[in-house]
Amino acid sequence: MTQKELHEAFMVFVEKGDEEGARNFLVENINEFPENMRKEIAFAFFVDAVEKDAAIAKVQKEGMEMMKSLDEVEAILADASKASSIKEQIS
Amino acid sequence: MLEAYEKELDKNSVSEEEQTPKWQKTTLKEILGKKEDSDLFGEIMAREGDLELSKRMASGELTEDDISELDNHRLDFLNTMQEVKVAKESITNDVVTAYTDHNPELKKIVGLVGIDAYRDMVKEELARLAIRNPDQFDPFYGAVKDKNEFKSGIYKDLDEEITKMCADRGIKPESYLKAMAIEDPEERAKALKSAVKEKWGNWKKAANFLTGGSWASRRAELMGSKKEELDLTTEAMKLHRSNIGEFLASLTSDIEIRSAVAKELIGDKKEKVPVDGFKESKGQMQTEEQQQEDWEDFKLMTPLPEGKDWSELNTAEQDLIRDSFIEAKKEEQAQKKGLGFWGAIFSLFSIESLTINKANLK
Repeated sequence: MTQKELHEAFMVFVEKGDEEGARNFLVENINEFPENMRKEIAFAFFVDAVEKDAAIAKVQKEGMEMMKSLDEVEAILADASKASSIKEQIS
Repeated sequence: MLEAYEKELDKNSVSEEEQTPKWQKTTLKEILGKKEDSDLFGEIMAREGDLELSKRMASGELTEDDISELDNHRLDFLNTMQEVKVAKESITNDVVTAYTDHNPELKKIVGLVGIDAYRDMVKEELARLAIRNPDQFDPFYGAVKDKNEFKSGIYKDLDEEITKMCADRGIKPESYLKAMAIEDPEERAKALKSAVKEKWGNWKKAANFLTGGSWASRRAELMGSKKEELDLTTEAMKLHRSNIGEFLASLTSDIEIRSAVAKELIGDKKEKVPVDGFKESKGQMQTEEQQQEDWEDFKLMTPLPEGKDWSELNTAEQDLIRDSFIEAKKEEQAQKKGLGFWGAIFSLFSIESLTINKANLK
């Protein structure tokens, strides 16, 4: 494909509003683009991957903290439950 | 005694010249002497809106204020390049692989380009990101650094830690079978998006449950509670734990879920730096008609040599004016360039389309 053909083929996805198609087109044809564009496209995908990974890592860290806190809550509730049973037995 | 003390002081005293790190001593002449550095320095000035200063610099008509301003830009450039140097060192094949493991698109690109070539491309582009979009570079570099640090810690990956925690507690990934069973990709993406939204709802409920008063300080109060009340709270706690645990396990085990969640998170406008998506960034692309209109305006505004008419210019003269138009449009695009994936891609294609259509500028 010539540079003009690549551009036009990409614009077909853009005009249709087909985001996934446009992304796939860039991935599939990465080696067809001239060097300056290839570098910038490849880099844009890397930045995107890093940002997504960081967003997921943030959620994962928060989730781990929540799980630890829930363990503490569970221990407190277990103690309270025991205390409540003993109280009921006594009364 | 005093003489010895003074000698000792002299030995320890370091002149200001010696205190300045070597990399900060690079002169403006040295920066401008290298094509790549000179281009990046020009981008710093464009970013700071100092285009007039660039013109005065090019014509050699600098004022005293200009010189001090240029020195600030020089230091800004050198500090940024020092950060970029450290960032470049952290981009290794291992780091690239750590990202491709979770990202099928990136995996395919790296497969097509080759990992060494890909790593080098990323390194080369880092300086441009740092200079054009420092707001995006800082969190980007912070995330890569975090990834590296985590990998050198106890766990190679956050995923491993979560997988172990879930296995120890017998937690399995939540079933997304209903959404995953849909064959049409668009419908599946919609179903996943709605499933992810539901999980976020549960996530927020669990967070509210945990922050609704300190549990340690409620200990005494809970000790006096009735069994029925405690049972209800215990049930709620179990439900939250299962929701959070199963969701965490899904994030580590399913790339499609992970990607749907990441998309939801990146699109969250509450994030510090709002990022334009596909639809918003599309507006940056100029049609050929718009380019032609701008070209006609540019020709009218440009004084032609010796008062000639456009048609009287020779090919070389016409080409020179076309090139200045393309350069002006490139600068305009660089200023408009949005953040995020599509901001970068559409800006790139806009600039490229001008070069492709250069012959149509008549």
